[in-house]
Amino acid sequence: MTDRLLTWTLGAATLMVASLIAIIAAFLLNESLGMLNRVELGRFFTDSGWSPTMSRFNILPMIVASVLLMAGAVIVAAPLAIFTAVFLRFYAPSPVIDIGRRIIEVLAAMPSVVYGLWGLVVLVPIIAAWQQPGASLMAGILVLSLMIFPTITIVVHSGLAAMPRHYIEASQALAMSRAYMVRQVVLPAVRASIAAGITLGAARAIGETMAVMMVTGNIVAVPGDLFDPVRALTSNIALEMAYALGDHRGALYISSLLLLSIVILLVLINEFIVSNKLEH
Amino acid sequence: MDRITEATSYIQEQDSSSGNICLCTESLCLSYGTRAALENVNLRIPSRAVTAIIGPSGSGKSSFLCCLNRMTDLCCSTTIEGSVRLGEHDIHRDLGKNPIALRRRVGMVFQHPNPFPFSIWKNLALPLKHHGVRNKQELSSVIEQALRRVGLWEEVGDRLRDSALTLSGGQQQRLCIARALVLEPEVLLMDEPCSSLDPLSTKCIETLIGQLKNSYTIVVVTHDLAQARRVADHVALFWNADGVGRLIEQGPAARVFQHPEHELTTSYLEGQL
Repeated sequence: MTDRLLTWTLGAATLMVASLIAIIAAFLLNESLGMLNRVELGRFFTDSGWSPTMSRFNILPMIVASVLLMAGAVIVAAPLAIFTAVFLRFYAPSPVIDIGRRIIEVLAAMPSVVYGLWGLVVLVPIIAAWQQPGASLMAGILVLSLMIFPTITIVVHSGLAAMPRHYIEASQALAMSRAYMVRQVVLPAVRASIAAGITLGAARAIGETMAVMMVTGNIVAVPGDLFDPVRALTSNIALEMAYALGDHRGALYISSLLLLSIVILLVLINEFIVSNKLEH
Repeated sequence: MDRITEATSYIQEQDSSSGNICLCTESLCLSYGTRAALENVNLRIPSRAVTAIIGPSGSGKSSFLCCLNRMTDLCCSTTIEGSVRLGEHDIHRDLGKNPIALRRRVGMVFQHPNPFPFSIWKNLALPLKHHGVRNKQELSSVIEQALRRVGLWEEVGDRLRDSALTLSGGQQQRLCIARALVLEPEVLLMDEPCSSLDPLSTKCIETLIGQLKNSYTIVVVTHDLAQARRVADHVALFWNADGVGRLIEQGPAARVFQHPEHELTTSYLEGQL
């Protein structure tokens, strides 16, 4: 009897969360469809610019900016995070392990507006001294990598901690050096955790709004180099939603739908990597 | 306690005459933190023969085995006194801080099969590549040889790219033995290698031990007295005395099983303890 009750309670909770996602997706689709009936999909990529009040809906520069910000942040943060996780698990003396983990947990939980503030006040002027204007793709990538670094580190570290101890014993008994063991046995054995960490990090990077808005300059243009200002899809929605009406509003819904699709795509890629045996 | 010391010294005299000694321990003591696990173990392990270490749970058999290839280094709180000699070398003093050279000479097989979560090929190739075999043809031939030696080639030779985790328990354990052998060690330590296997796989591993002893010195820890009778040339009985593991009797298997010197051995073999 209690077992059935528990099954129903757990099932109901799961169903509620799952249907919430479906409801949000359906809402976005519904809001976007009206717009898509009036405006051809291709125009979102080929219009002469982003002036939604004048019926010009090119969101391509913002897609490019968002993807570059995400990719840049992952490229900077992922190796650092994996190194840190391996260091904390296999190399660090025990007092360092405890302190290190606490710091990373705090970093992971820090509000994004704090990262944004730091980026705006400290990082942007430094970049500006190097190359104007400072608020740029580069500033966005650096702030985002700082934000997703702890996320990836925590996921990879818990993968390392959960790895069966007998892999280590077997490696040691086979006269492997610690470096060889980490490279050839440990990292391949936890590749699912690494993929999951990177996916979570990438999803956080592409979804981040506040910190990105504070440091990237928010100019709608495809960046020519790392020091050009950009506007991310997320920032665009946050900046314009308050006053957007009609088709303008519709275009922002389409942007949201696009963000959701990118995140779903990331999760699918992760699934593919994990399920696919990456044996040579 | 006097009886134990008496028996030990008697055995030492008796065995010093027999065969080449590959590994021997002198006054070996091991403790984890402040808790002593082994005390004053003087064991002589003859070359190219099977030495079975028997005794009840908690008598320090596995701990003793871990002293022989310094797996004890993995726990940072262990202290070891006395010496372990491999041939001419004291493995703690002469072989330095890094146990890699030692572990190349002393391989180990564990209680539970522990293949890496990679292909059969990669399980065997990893240790070889680390120790300098890079040529693909050479790798192939060494791997085939290793698999043939443990009788796995006929079973898995055509699916080396499959995950090692798809093999049965007995096959996995033979793969682990093959993996330990690719580095051509002198000694093979086996910690209850059959305790998680079914009778058929156990028989297979025991036959294998019988073949391998012509080329390797084998030390096998076992709970199973019948197994010790089947595979061992020499036997050492460990006993838990006052919470500390001690060696109370050692000698040729036939002698120990038929004419045990120590009262505890007699009772243990008769199943009274």
